[in-house]
Amino acid sequence: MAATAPEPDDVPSDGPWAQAWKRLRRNRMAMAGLVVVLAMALSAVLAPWIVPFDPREMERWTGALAPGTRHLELCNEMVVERGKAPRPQDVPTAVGKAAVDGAAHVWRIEVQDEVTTLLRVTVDGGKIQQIGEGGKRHTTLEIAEDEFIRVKDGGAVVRVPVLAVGGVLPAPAPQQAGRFVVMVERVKRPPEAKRTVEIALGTDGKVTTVTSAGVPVDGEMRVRAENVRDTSLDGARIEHSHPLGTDQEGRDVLARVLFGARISLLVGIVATFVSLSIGVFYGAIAGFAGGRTDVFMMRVVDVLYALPYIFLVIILLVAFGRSLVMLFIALGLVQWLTPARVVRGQILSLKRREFVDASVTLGATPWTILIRHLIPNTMGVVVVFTTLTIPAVILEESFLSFIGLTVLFRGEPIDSWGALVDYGRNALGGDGERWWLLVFPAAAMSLTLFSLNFLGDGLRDALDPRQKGRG
Amino acid sequence: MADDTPLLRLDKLSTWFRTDRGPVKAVDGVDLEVRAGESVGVVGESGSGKSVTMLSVMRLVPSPPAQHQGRVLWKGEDVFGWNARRVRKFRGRECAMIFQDPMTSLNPYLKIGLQLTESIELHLGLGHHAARGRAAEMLGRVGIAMPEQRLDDYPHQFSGGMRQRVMIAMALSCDPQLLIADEPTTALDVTIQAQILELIDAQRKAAGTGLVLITHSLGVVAGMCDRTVVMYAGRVVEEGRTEDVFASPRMPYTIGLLKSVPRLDVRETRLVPVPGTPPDPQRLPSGCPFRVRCPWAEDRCAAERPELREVQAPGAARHRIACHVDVTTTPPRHDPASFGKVNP
Amino acid sequence: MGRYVLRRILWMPLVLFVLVAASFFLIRLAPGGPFSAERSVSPEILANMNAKYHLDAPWWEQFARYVGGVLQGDLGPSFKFKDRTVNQILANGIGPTVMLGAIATVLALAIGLVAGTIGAVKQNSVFDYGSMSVATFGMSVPNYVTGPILVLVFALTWKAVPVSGFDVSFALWPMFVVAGMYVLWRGAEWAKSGLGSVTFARESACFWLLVLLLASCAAVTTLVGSPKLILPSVTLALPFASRIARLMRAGMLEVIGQDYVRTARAKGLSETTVVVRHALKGGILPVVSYLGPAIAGVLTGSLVVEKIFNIPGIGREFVEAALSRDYFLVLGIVVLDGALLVSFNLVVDVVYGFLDPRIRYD
Ligand SMILES: Nc1ncnc2c1ncn2[C@@H]1O[C@H](COP(=O)(O)OP(=O)(O)OP(=O)(O)O)[C@@H](O)[C@H]1O
Ligand SMILES: [Mg+2]
Repeated sequence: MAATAPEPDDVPSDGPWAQAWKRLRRNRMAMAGLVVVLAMALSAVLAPWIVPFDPREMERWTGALAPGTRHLELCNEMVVERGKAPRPQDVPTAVGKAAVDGAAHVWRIEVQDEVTTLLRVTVDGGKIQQIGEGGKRHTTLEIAEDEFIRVKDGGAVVRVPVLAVGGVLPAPAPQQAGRFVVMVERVKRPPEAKRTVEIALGTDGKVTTVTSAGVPVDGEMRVRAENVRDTSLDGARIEHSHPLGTDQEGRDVLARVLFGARISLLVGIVATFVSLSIGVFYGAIAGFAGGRTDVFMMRVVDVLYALPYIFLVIILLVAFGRSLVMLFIALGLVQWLTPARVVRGQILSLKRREFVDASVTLGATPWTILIRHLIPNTMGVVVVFTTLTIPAVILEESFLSFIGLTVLFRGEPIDSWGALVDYGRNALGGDGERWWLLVFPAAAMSLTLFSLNFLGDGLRDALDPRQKGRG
Repeated sequence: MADDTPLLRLDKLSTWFRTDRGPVKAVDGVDLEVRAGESVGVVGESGSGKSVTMLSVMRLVPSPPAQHQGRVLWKGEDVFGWNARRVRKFRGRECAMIFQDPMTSLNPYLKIGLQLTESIELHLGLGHHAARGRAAEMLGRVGIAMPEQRLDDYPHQFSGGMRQRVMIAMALSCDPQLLIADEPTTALDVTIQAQILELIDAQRKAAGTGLVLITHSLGVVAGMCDRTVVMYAGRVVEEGRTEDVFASPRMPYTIGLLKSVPRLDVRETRLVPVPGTPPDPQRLPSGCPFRVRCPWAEDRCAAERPELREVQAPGAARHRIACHVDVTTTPPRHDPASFGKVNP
Repeated sequence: MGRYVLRRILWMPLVLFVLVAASFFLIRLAPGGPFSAERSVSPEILANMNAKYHLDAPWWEQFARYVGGVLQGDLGPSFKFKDRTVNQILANGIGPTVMLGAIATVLALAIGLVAGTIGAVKQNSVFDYGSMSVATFGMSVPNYVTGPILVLVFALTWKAVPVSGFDVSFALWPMFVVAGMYVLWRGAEWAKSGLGSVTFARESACFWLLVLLLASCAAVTTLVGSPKLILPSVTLALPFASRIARLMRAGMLEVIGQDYVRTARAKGLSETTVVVRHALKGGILPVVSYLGPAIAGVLTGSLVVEKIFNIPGIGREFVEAALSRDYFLVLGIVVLDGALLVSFNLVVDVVYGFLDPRIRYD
């Protein structure tokens, strides 16, 4: 009888890694996970080139914009002066770019100026006591259709139809216990206060002329963003688009999510590296040493296992400051126990293999055996644990951010996904009208964690088919 | 039984497994009969479908992914046509089974007492105390000392041989009419094997129970069984009274089996499989599955599948083989000396 | 069994001591004291305050003092709430936290075990695929995401439940008692008919299932009576229910493939008996060993859930205390949670021993 041809699967022609890869490729969910994870990592790395916004840059005047909104690209206050080149931070990016391209341009701004009167509102025990306007005192003050009230100097808009002594001044106006004074502006935008500002840019990048309502302006010309109705460069509107909307400070949500991915993934990878290094070495040494050392080292692991770790991490961060390094250490310290146990088990069984005896007879020192022969053989486990530890660490980091322990970088909080979710949760509004602030960061995080978990499961099955289907 | 209906009859029973690589026919048209009080030995190489056949009888092959064809008749009734309640009465009460591996066949989390009494209470309708009494009696009968105390022990507190005794006690506790023992001794060491087999034989004879004994040991079959069934690649290839099969085997595979055993009179001789590889159940050769290893193989063997046919046996006893060739008259085509060596 | 439990009990103080020592020295090693944040404090007052709380003593004395206090049940003063001791603060906060944790644990166990078992027994069915997809999702998505999302959907958009706050009502408990009696009665009936002639009292799995059933009835009744607890409990329970379902399914699948389950079938036992008596005990073991970490997770989760839903428990207290460096309060909460955790782990170990005789008789 002709020998039956062996199944292609049984041919050990490729190494174990190639075979694992083959098995992994057959696992659809794991491959989908891999693609999502890679895409997320790539967009995190390329974030500055994907979105034109700085995640910290506020455009307060826009407020929270729904996803897909386009709005005029402005600076908080735009400043130009005839004969000078505009500074990039004083003009929209498009204008800044146009100034240096060697051609002449016309930048037009439609301005709706506002007429403000300053009100001095005294509040005591939550009730309005006094409303002063200039020298006058009002008992009631109607706010007309085309008017509104704003906390002084571009602060929050307070929506009330009428201000009356004995009434309340609702949030977002400042609220305090006891007696205090709020300065508010009564703002009106009359149609006659409309004007067009035209700025001509020369080929040398300098401002050649500035006119306001047809009248040439000498010296500095300032326009505040909230008064701008329209703006165009050579007849084309200068616009921003926010595919995922903006938050209440006018920060672009997409930028925040992508830059949040950077910090989350970075922490995930570094802390995983830290914890796996500790775990592998600890486990390897315990397993290799054997005997009493092993028993003692594993008892320590048992004790640590029983501790409520996250509490210690919180204490650590609070006590020693919330720096990035501290976070790496704190999170790295949490996750090393399981890999340590598993690696120890592996080393125990590897130790008994022939190649160890062979190396011993060849005169290798224990350290060489451990580092050259034993640890490399545990790499399959390490790969699996890497993909499973990264999501765990991301979870923990986001958890810490969520409860208020954001990482500080040079004294400034860096918002990771957890902080974004917390922000979004607080900014939802009474009917959940600002849902995008919660949903997009949450979706990015869930998707990534989901994918990493699937990838981890798939890798475990691929590298160790016997374990398939556990837990 | 008064009438002529056999206790158990398999009528062209086939069992498939649906696997990732396509269907596997583990049992392929098996015909077999067991009469009341009779003992039948089933032998064959590993993977020849002995266990699956017997599990199919008990309807214990998970289905799906397994599928059956043909019939299993218990006193003339079709087992596959029964509802769940009837099947449960059949299992344990009418037909009991002892499994291959005593180490894994007892539930490690439950006391022996519960595992023994549950079927007694269920099938014999005894109360808790009476059932415990019967369980202790059964344990004592299979030779376990202090049976009352041992009822409260867990399986891990018993040795392998004792566990198999417990399994036997469990199987016999409801006085089944048929006992199926699937290699009851393979997992045990040699000295205990003999004891266990003697125990089964004695218990069976005392109660008049029918027995199907699956084993690899031809010596055991010769010593214990009235009839012998030889299986190959999921089929019955030879079947007859034990003395006929052993004295004048008519199927080349059986001849090979017997040849590979040096002395028939030694009980503990292990069956050395016929050299050459057993066929892959997924790619059986056409015609007779044994022909590629058979010294008598002719062209006809490749073209036509041999059905079981009667051959002449002393005293008009039934003796059937599935072979086209009459080995008593035809000389082997290949050198008979090469038979028993690995094929090129 | 006695020795096994004793060993476990001796293990407890060691773990607790390590926990207290680690937290204490982490805090003590840190630069800055509890009062360094308060700007207006003059050096004399600072010295006075430090002396009052013995913060000027050597570290070992402070530690000895603290451990001595803890042993006598005194967790020290709170720096932030100067009029209350840590004991008082914890006494106020423990109720909501334990209440919520207990409800969530019971829900997670009930849902997880049932879904996992059905998934395993009806493997590859629609139910199996459905529940496992939900479980995989529930396991990957953290509760600080599910919580706000649930709030957005059910409280803000749909307005089906209140947003936040805490108040428990046991008004429906009489109903629960009646329902519980009914369940007990039915359970006994069912056990008699469904499990053959085997007496109900001997079925330990049935006993535990019944306990779980009653506990989940109690949990559900409480939730129906106090709608404010629904979202927090669900948020807290979801990841654990998912994990338990998956563990249970995997455990049951492994056990159902074992030889001894086939033996049980070969005896003619009904499918219910086979599953309840023969498969459940082995299949539930992975779940039992997961319960320890699960309780740690519930405690961690309470930090989040109490923040999201504005529940006055010790979880919320802990975060605030940590942020304001209220050391004794932080330590007190760690001690309390640690003690809860360690004693629960003890219970879990003992239950494990009960289930698996091979461990018990070691
Ligand atoms: N669950 C299953 N799925 C797929 N194939 C199976 C399954 N169980 C058994 N088989 C196949 O059925 C065939 C017969 O198996 P069976 O266990 O009956 O052999 P056996 O004669 O009892 O062997 P042994 O003497 O080793 O016990 C084998 O080829 C085996 O691979
Ligand atoms: Mg077999």
